[in-house]
Amino acid sequence: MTFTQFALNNVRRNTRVYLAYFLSSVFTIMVFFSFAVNLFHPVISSRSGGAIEIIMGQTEAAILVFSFLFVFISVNAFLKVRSKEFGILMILGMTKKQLRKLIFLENMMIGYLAIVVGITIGFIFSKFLLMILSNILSCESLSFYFPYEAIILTTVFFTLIILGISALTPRIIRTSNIITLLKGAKRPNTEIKFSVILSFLAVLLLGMGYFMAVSSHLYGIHPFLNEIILFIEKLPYAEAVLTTSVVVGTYLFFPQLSIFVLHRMKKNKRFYMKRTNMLWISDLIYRIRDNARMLFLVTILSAVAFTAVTGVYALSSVVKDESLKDNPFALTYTSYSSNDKVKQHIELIDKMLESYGFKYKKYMSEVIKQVSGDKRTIHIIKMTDYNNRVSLLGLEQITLDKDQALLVPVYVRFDPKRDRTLSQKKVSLDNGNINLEVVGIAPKVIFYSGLFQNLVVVNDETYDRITGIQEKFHSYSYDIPDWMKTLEVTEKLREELGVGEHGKYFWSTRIEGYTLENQNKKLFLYVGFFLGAIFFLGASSFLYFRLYTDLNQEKSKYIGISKLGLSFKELKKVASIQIAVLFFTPYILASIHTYFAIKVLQTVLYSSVFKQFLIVMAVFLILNSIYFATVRSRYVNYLKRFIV
Amino acid sequence: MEILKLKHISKIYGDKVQYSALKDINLTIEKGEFVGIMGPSGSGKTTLLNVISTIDPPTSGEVLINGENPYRLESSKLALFRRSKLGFVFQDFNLIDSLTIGENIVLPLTLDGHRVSAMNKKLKDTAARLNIENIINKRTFEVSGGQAQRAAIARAIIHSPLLLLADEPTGNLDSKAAKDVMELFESINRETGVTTVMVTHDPRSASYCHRVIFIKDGQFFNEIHCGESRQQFYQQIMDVLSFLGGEENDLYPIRLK
Repeated sequence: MTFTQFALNNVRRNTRVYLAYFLSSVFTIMVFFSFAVNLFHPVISSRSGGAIEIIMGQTEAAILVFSFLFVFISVNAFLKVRSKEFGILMILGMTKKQLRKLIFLENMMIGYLAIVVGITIGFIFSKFLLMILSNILSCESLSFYFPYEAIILTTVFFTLIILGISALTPRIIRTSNIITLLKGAKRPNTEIKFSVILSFLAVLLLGMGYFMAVSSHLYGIHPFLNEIILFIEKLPYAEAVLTTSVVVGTYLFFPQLSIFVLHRMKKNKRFYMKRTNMLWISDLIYRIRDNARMLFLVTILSAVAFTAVTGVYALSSVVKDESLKDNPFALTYTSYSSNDKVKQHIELIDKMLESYGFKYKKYMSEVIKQVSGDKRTIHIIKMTDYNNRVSLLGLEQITLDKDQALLVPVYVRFDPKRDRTLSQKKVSLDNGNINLEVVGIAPKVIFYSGLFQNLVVVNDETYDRITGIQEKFHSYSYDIPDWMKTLEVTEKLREELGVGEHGKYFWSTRIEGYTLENQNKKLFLYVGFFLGAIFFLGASSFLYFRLYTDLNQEKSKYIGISKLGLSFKELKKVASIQIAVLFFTPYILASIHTYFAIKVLQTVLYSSVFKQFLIVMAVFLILNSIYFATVRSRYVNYLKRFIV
Repeated sequence: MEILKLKHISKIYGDKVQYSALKDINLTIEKGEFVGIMGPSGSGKTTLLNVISTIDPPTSGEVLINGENPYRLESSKLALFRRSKLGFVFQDFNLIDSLTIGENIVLPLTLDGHRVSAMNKKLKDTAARLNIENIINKRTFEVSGGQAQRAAIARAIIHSPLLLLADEPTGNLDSKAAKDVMELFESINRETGVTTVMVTHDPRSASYCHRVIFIKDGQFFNEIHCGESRQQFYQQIMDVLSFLGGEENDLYPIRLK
């Protein structure tokens, strides 16, 4: 028997032990490969540089990181189970180098078999993914192609992962301590230590992260708070600081804070000594300590999955809403005063819309651009034009005196307290010749988001008195009730009018923005659900692996207690509480993380996404409960066989 | 010639609460000797064997195997040292389940990178000597405890080690299998001259040794040599053990008034 044969024998004759590891590798490779097939598809890669390629590329990178973690954790569990075997080999005089070689050879054999199987299954799966993708991009159906790039990428990356893992092996198996290895995977139940300082730090870090996430929503409650919020917002890499503090807080939560809580429960003797409470509390402390790192990973993976799914679901369900708010009018044509074709163009648009059978209503407004002495641009619209325009948008008609002004926001999301232009109390025009008092702020954008910043509504008489005119715009806005069908006519008009002419005119439609956003958001939805699904599956299987490995140790413990007279019903209760804590603590913590992550998302969205958050969390709660129920009943039934 | 020499060996476990497992042990074992180590549970006999086995460094003192201190070697040299100079037999056999009996036996040679033809020849010779030729193609779970221990002994001697170390080799065996295994140890020691050190709590197994060392509370307690008859030696061992055991129980009749 040569060394290579030895490694081969290990793999060949140990299928039961290797199977879980092999299957998780196949699963990871399949996911990675099928996504790579999407990524390298000729149609997609030809659209390089666009949002699609970036989104897909980043998703693949996320899957890669996940793959490494997933394979590493399975390998870790798998090597821990075999520690006695390694102890024997070390005492027989195996060098560290030989051990590394053995693990490498075994991993290579399993890994390459997993790559072949994973890619084969991935071929079929990727066909399915391509179908979804071509539907999303509403392009010609993405044909099946021979994905040699994806095959190379998958093979190279997983070879690197295998190499990385064999390099890390001596760290996983503490080769220096042969005696411990020979005793096997059993860990001594040493006294649990926790530190009040670290528990406090966990609370502090989580609190800080959460506070940073919601800070912009809290502005204006108290002046001192405002100072803090402004300080946070000016912080460099605020997002990185936020993420790090939540991640570190979560990392400390399990070995410190949760033990701290259980320890308090233990101190409360009336609760602790009551019936079976003592059993599950004292045992749970050890289980959490032993599984702290795994629970941390499960929490983070679940939080990523929940956030991805909630985020994309929220984005996609508000996309129509958002484009309505972004573009109150279906079509807006804006002309500079030097544009001599304005009449011709408007007639063309009217005729075109009519020929397609659209009903429409046109609103024309005149807007003056003025640049004040201190180089600030101000746009002015008269009261009549404003009232005419907002009659469609459902806003109140206004009446202004000669020395009054109304401010209009330029972006959909605006903050009257913090926006520099919207918070001015007085407006002066014509270098101080006309001074107006601000009486209010319009509640909505009245052209489209981004057009005419620092827009002021004034009395018609005042408007006519204005002398400093940098530019006079004429803006024609069309309201088309059937705007969802205007894509074709827009394309026709683009052929005639192009995108506009610098210094002459420009125009935009709601349907174009909507279509682009819709496609991007559907892609997000696809990617988000995909990532969410594999991360959630991954997180769940970590838990399962762990329970499975611990089962033997648990079994002997339960047999022992049952001999002392613990009824099966009580045993079921004890086991259920423990498994429930292991299953639902990460879920609860992850959903809190997600809530705050969504708060960050909320700052860039106009519509509230709380409802979507609740729906997604409910779906995951149901999935998690089904999974819990299955695992629990299998677990309890297994124990039942051994109970006296 | 001295094969093993222990000089003032002490072993302390623990950081805060310290516990002395071995206290100033001195021992010399000559080439070809068959030595047993006995003592009540917790006396430190397994710790002593681990120290000799080069897997548990002593807190103070020196271990010399064939004049060389293995704890001075760096880790890969130490592995080579174990591989070529030492053979191990354990209570629970410690065979590797994914390998056949034959493959388990040649494992030390595999690790040393011997040629397959040389391995097969040595396997054949060793298996014949131990009378296990018929099971070398079987898997570990297909053989009895006695056969598994024979295979483990074959693995321990296939590379002709300088020192054969056994930790309760008969602990998991019935008395018939235990007797066979001890006779095997004796004949191997006699025929090949391999120096053997064995930890046991079974006086019958210990009676196969040339010399038995007793330790108690980590300290050297007594040592007796085998005289003319094994039966007489067994009796002597029993006497020492009952003396040791009587103290261990702390059940002096005088206290039970």
